[in-house]
Amino acid sequence: MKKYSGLIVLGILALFIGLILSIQLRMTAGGDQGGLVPLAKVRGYEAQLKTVKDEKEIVVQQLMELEERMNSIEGDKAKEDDFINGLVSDLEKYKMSSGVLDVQGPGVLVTIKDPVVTDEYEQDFSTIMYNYELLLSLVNKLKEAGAEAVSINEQRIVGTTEISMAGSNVNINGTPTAPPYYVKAIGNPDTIHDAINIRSGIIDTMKLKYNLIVTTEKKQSMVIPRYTGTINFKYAKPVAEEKSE
Amino acid sequence: MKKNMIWITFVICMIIGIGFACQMKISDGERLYVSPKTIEDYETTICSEKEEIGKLQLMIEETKTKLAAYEKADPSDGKSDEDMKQNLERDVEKYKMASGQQKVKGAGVEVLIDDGTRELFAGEDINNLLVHDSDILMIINELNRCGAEAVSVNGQRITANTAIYCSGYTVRINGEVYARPFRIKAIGDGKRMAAALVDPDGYGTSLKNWGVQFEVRLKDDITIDAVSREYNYKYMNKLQKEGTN
Repeated sequence: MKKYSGLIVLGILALFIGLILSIQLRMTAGGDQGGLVPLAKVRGYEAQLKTVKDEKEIVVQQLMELEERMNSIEGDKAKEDDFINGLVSDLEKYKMSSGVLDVQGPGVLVTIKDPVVTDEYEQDFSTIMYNYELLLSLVNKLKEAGAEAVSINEQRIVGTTEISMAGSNVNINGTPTAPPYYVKAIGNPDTIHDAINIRSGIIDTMKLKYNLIVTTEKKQSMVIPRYTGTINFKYAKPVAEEKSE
Repeated sequence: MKKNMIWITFVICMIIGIGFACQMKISDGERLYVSPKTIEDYETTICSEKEEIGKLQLMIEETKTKLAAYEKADPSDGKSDEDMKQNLERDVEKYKMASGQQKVKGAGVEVLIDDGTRELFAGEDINNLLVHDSDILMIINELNRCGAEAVSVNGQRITANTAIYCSGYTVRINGEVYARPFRIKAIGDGKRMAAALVDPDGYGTSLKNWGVQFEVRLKDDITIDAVSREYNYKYMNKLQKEGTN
């Protein structure tokens, strides 16, 4: 008996190793079928996103440079001609209120993240995306509180902006977006911050009812990009107004 | 022989112990695994950034063409000035329409919603039959999704800064107070907009199911007034080139 005691110990150990291995294997197999993916995989995407963002920054700079040149030419002309001067200042005014200019100012940044993953079987959808009317409502509340410019994930909100569910994406201005959502609003930071943070207000609802992770932050200066879609009127035609404003 | 066995057992135990320790340490970081949705979200974001770059590049091309025309212009003859004026006038009109400060006319749809008149079920909440700000927001959102070019609610043009706010019995739009019924006018592809609303999954159908009165009419000739309010922006400023973040 003494002779075999070592073998018995070995056998038990082998059994343990086998068990652990099989448990490990089963978990990995589960992961492949839409369960969880390793964090390491995300890193690659992070890097890719950063490259694309840098690329965009360059393009934006280029565009701004060109516009600078245009503006200076128009400005020069405007000095000579009163009529052009009027047109240029009108254009600036209308462009400002139609949201086709990049703007900056003080305001509030709202960050909305999906609830932390707790259960393995409930991660196939995003809470905030399924309830995109929350975003719609938040934007409305921000405007009510006097926001002058609003953007969601760099998509400027203009009069014809839609927020809609398309497949598994939320489209804003026709561009697919995904969480986390960064909602920026330029306006009086205190008013906006306090208005949306009222008890059982929109932020409270998002936090308590939908378990979303929401933070609001007052900012001294923020940049909100312009509306980048094409503006093209196919159906609407201007009506000349009799009385001039 | 016996000594040998003990050593082997010891080594195996060591290996298992280290293995366990490694496992423990790794699972300590709570975000070792993320949901596949996260990967999808990254993909969407990258895709949308790329789309943005495409749009910006189009804008660069456009600006370049304009700039070329300006630079080519010979300051001595009056023709280039005339061209510039025409260009500017076209732009002013376009952005005036986009900002909602121009009265417009065209084909589209008219949506009429009103509180329901049916009897309440025992213990039913009256709110089920009333029109809320969120209903109006959703309908406008739906109209925008289907390419509405100009939208108004009870004569108030919806602009980038319009908030719709329900306060008890009345609804405040652009700071003006309105009561039921609500007449939403939209210029655009009427068939598409109407189809989306009365679709079995459409928002109009779901309103009807609640018992709210809902009606869509296609119209060839809809006039939408300019916004009555003059916008003065206190907080936002045009982004200067140096001020990029």
